[in-house]
Amino acid sequence: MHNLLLQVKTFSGVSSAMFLGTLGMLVLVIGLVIFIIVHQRRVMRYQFQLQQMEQEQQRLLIKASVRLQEEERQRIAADLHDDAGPLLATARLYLNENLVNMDKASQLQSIFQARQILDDTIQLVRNISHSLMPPTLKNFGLESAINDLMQKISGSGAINASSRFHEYRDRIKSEKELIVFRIVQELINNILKHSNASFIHITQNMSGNKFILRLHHDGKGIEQSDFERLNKSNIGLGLKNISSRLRVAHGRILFEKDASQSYYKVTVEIPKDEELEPSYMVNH
Amino acid sequence: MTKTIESLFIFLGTLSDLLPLLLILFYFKTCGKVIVLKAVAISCVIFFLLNSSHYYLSAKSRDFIYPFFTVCEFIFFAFFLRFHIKNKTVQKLILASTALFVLFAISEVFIIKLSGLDSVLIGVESIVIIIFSFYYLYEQMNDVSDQFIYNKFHFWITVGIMIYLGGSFFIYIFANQVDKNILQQWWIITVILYIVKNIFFVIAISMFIRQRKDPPRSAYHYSPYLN
Repeated sequence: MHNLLLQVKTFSGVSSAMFLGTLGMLVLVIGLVIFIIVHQRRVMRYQFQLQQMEQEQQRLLIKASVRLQEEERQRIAADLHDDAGPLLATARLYLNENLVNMDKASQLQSIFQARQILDDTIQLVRNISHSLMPPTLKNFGLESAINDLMQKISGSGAINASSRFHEYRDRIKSEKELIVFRIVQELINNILKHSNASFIHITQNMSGNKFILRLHHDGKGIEQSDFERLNKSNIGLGLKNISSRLRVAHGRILFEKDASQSYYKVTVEIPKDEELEPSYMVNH
Repeated sequence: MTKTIESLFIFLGTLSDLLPLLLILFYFKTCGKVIVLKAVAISCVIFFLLNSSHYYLSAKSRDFIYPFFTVCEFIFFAFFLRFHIKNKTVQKLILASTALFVLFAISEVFIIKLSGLDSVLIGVESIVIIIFSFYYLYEQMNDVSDQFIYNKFHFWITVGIMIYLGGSFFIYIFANQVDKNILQQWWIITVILYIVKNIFFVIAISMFIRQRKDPPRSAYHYSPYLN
């Protein structure tokens, strides 16, 4: 009897172990499968959100770039319409049909006036053309164009601007020079408008295959977090323009405070040999 | 009465091997191009023949059936996982473990002279295959490139394997230690899990056939911004 009871006890112990073990394993396997499905869904949803954010940013950048292009066209149209148009109309007035009936002195006077006006118009058109593509940049390269720009800013006497290129014996491609020049123009424009700085200093270096340009100023500046925030918002058109240009050149920009915490520093990095985005080559 | 139900389940379990096989044969044009599904079909034939052996073989000649069944099962599961795991090292590990397992099974049968149900052999098989299945799931979990894990047919085959091996693990482990009568009571669970495994195989194959006709879209598909 005792043996039988012991046997029953043993069997029930093994049975419960089998029951619990089987149940445990099934729960473990099913739980694991459910966990994996839920986890993967969550990760994929997160990735999708990231993709959407990136797309939204790209959309903002393109919008900013298109808006900037339109503004530039409007400015050129306004310059041509408001300045060149009236000047040419005035020149036409001086050179009207009555000119042949005038006395010699009046004729000379009119021709001289018309010539003066045409000279002014030529200068105006040249200025418009230079604002589109600085001739110094085209003919002498980025170093001369930036030096020229800094000299002009310094010449106003309001701000001390200087630049120094340390390693620029081999020029980068002209398209990239234009991109860097436009970025520098935009940065300087922002500094002049918003920072109240008393000096701007630009230095250039190479680090391996990377072209590096650093801009220091002592005014009120922004840091990387501000740049990223403005880039994602609807304001900050100029910064978005910088971003879209850098994207084309596969470059990077870093806004930070100097180690001494008294200056703001902007670092622009562009790979020297990499090709530009094909869309940029088509559009420009 | 209990015996009749047990016999019915064993009969159903044996027949369940034919479900994936028939589905593959019915859609052979679609399934025949995939090596894994061909392997599923071959394994179903082998398992059906082995499972139904008690209808045409004597008890004495069925001594080698259990170890042979275990080895076939291991080779098929290992081949399937090796085919769907991307990590090269793990692939090699699966091949090595298959070779070792076959050697181990041979030594168990011919050297140690074990016959019938062998807890150790089945236990080793279950542990090794479950570990590789976990690794497969881990790899799939981190793969967020195209579609959800449950849209892949091999996921359902793996789930079937895991439920079958995981659920019957403890019964097989205790198989050599409990009374034959108790084991027979529990055996029905392994048969049910075996049927469940084959149902999962059918789900996987039908999913594969459906996806061949109408390929699934990416998990979160979207129209790209045209720039």
